[in-house]
Amino acid sequence: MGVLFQAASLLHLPQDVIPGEPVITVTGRRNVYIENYNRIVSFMDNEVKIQARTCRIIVEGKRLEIQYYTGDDILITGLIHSVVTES
Amino acid sequence: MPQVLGRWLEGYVLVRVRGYGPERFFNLCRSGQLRCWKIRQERDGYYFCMALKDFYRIRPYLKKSRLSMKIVSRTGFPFVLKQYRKRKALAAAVLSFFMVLYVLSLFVWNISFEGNYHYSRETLLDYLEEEQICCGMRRSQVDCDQLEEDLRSRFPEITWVSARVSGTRLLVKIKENETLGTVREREDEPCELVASAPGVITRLIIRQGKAAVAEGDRVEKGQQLVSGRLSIMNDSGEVVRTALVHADADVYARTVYEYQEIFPGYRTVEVKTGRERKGLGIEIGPYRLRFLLPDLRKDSWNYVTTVTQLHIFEDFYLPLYVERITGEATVSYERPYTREEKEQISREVEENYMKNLMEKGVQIIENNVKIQENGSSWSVEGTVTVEEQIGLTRYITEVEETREPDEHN
Repeated sequence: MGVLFQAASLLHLPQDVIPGEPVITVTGRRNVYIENYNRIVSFMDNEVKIQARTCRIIVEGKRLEIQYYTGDDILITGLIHSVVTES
Repeated sequence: MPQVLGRWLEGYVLVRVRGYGPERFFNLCRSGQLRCWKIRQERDGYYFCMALKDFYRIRPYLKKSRLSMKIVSRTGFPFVLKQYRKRKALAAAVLSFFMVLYVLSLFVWNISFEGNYHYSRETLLDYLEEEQICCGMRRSQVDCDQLEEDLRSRFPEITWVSARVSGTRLLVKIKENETLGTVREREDEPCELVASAPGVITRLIIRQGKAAVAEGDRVEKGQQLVSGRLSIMNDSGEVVRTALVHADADVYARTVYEYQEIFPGYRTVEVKTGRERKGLGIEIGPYRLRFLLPDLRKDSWNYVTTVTQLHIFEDFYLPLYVERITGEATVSYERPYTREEKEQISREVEENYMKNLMEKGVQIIENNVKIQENGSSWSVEGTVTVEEQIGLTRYITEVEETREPDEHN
């Protein structure tokens, strides 16, 4: 993985392109937008677990909804309490 | 917004799934490229929306993830269509609406001009009507190239025309010649200049001909100013012959104009009572329909009507006019003019008269106005002294180029 990061920085490429790192964008307390994810691990109205290539993302909150998801990205809405990543 | 509209047009269903591990189902949908959105968990299962097209492919995925499914609601155009498929009258109405729109789009319903300052819209419209181009004619019958040519040849001041049919509008763009001008043709016909008005000569610039008056002379109307007859003398001072020339000169004279405008002693004043009534009108072709509240008090009303032509898009004008009528009740009575009003009117009369004189290109030297009371009426009387050109061409009709017998022969 370290080699890929080094290659990406040498080629001046964004860090998420080569190693397939997830990009998490949090907008206020209402939206979490995740790119480069693999699959939905679990989905409940207070917790959503998303598996990315390098880590697992846990979104906790209230009245969580998956607004939409495609092959690359997913938008979770609701009242967000925390976004945690774990390997 | 376009996404919402697209989903509605395509049609979608709200589905509830129950069972163990719906996440697997969502992941399978993702890999099978089935579109799900608005996924939420409720007590009785998971709810989500799915496009109608994808919904028909859902069964194997449900089977694989061992979920039971129920359609909660159906939304979108395909379902509306299904719902109303037996309503023939509605279908006929929708169809006839589009038919009428199509038929209307075959005709010209609005003619607009742009860039015309010298020629009024009415003048141009009258001309177009002469050429059988008017509102209500077939779009395909409008020959824009011919129209451009005709307009240019009929109106010499128009230097450039562009006509095009856009939607149900005929747009005519015009560029006019800013310097109004026909080049004066050089005339050679023998003539003399006579006074067009009585006055005192102030300046005399003669280019051709012989002066019959001098600066400071008082002249009467019709009096000869510049003669077109030139006497040609021999060495001994005798007239050999008379040559006729085209007299050409600028003769300026100080002239006096008098004007008078009589007004009656009383004027009718209309006062608004404050009562208003509004109405609407519709004009379709030759038919006009007006809705106006009845007038119970039988007042006298002043109406202002604003007419708007309806159009769907910018260029899709319809032969439908909406009139907004506003009526104001008035009471009229007669009273004598006040001093201020008389002064105001006299100023207006004076200004109008001056404006007319200035348009003729004269120079105003002196101006006196007074208000004259004549019992039951009153008048504005004025005297204006101006300096203007008074030379008027009068052609010499008789051919009298005389020649004295040559003594040497």
